[in-house]
Amino acid sequence: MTRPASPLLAFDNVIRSFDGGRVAAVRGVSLAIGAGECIALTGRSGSGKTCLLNIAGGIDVPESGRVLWCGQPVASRRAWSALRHSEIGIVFQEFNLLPTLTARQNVELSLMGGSLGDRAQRVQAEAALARVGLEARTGHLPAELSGGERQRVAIARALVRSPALLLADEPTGSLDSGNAASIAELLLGLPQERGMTLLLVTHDDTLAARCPRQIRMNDGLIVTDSSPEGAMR
Amino acid sequence: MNMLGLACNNLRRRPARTLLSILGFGLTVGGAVALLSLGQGISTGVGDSLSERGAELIVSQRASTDAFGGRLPESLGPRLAEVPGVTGVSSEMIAFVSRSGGGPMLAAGVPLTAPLLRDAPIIAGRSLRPGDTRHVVLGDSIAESLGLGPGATIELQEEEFEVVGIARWASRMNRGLALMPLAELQAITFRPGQVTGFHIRLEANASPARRSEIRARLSSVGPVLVSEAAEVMDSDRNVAVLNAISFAVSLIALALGGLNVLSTQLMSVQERTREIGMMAAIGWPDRRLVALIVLEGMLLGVMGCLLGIVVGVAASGFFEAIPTIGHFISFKPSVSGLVAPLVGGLVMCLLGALYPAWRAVRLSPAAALRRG
Repeated sequence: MTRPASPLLAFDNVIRSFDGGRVAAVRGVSLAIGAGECIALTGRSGSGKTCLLNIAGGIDVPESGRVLWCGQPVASRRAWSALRHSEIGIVFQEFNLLPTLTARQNVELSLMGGSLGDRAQRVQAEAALARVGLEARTGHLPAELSGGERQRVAIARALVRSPALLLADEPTGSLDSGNAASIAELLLGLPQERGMTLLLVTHDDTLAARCPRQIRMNDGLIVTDSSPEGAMR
Repeated sequence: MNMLGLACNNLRRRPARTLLSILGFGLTVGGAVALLSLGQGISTGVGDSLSERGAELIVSQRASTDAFGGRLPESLGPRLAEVPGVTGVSSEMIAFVSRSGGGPMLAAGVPLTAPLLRDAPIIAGRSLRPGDTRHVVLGDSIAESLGLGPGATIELQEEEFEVVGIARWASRMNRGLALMPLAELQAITFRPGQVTGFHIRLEANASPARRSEIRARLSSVGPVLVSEAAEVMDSDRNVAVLNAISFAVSLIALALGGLNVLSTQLMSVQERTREIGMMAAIGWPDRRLVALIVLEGMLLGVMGCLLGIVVGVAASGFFEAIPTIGHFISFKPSVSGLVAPLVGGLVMCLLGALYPAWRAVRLSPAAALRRG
């Protein structure tokens, strides 16, 4: 898929609710995200930020409205799978590593199904782990790693395919302050170092303040956007 | 890492459950292998037995329910011998007779001038000869299990017979056989003048076309069925019923094996809902997730099938060790006999793995991640 000048990703009046419509998580959000932006998505618990992030990655489906990638609407499950395989990386708060696979094998999961052979997968996975400072821990199981190291493995898994967009949902939420700062440095450096777009969901105001663009949500709506021209409303 | 490595890794995560699933499926396949080889063992055993006793073609009663249950008049023999191309006709009666102090025993009655008696592979004593009456030649297997040798007596149908010889036949059925004068077997089974069939010898080097011609002529002699020795059990209704029952029981067993795989994979998929959601979230398409779960199910099936072959062969050996079975039937699961239970087993595995695979991908990745 060709990468656009901007917007990379756009939401057009997106609505998502749960529990048969009784809980409105996202209520008609329209938003444009340009390539190379670093955006913090903040808000109280239940404000709809994780739901919006899930919709941005296609792992959740809006009831109405459109999501556009490079100006093209993306609707099918298959199209979203293809995008996540090549263009979108996701980092979760809970790491979500497979416990019986080593750090390297967890990263290799992102490469499976592509054109790479076993050996090339191994080399790329080791290189991705080296980029997050885990070159000495590639053969360790998640249970043998600290929380910060596990999150680094999860980041390496998301970065190994050099995605255009990285979605991170509370990536420092399960970490102590030392590890949280280290992971924050790693993530916030990506847009500058690699031209990657970063959409970061966080409760941490200090971390959010380091992002050039901040979007605040409340009750499923965007209430403030530090870059008003990015909003399509 | 590849799909196979990942599937093996997933199965190793619950070793006890995986081993129990393989064991369960292996027993299922093994049971099917043993059951299906039973009917084949009977057919093959009877064919081998008849061939060893010199029969090329067998003439039996048409429309009889079982191969040895028919009755033909002994007087039919000379008419069969007149058919061009036939070089020898030997009447025979086969019957199960009661044995004092034991279960039924297979007996064959033959005329005392039959070439079979001259060619019998005697290893102790002698063969039957003209003038014998209450005399029998026992197969070595039954003689050994009864502890009898030449000069001993055996009570059959409440009549006493003297054992005059022991024969070491090659076929399992013949090794459990009591060979006696035809007239004596007719007398003790109250079937005077009747036989169960005729063994036909043909002229040397008869071409297939010639054999067919001879078979047709023999068939026109009367209400008789003419079969090759190897196919004599093909028209046996008892064997057909046995085969049908074996097939049905095997099918049920294999279906249970498939359910076993379904249950194992369903549990596994439910436990791994969050992981499956994560894999979808990093870009695994549905078809690859389905392939992984089906591959895990098929690995269980393949390992179960390998175990099943071992169990089936072992069970067949066990059956052979039971005298009442092993004296008559040779259970030797053939390669062709393994195909049906193995293919059936793998198909059931595939079906059993598809449902959990469908369950795994029907949720959105976000819902799967929330559930875990």
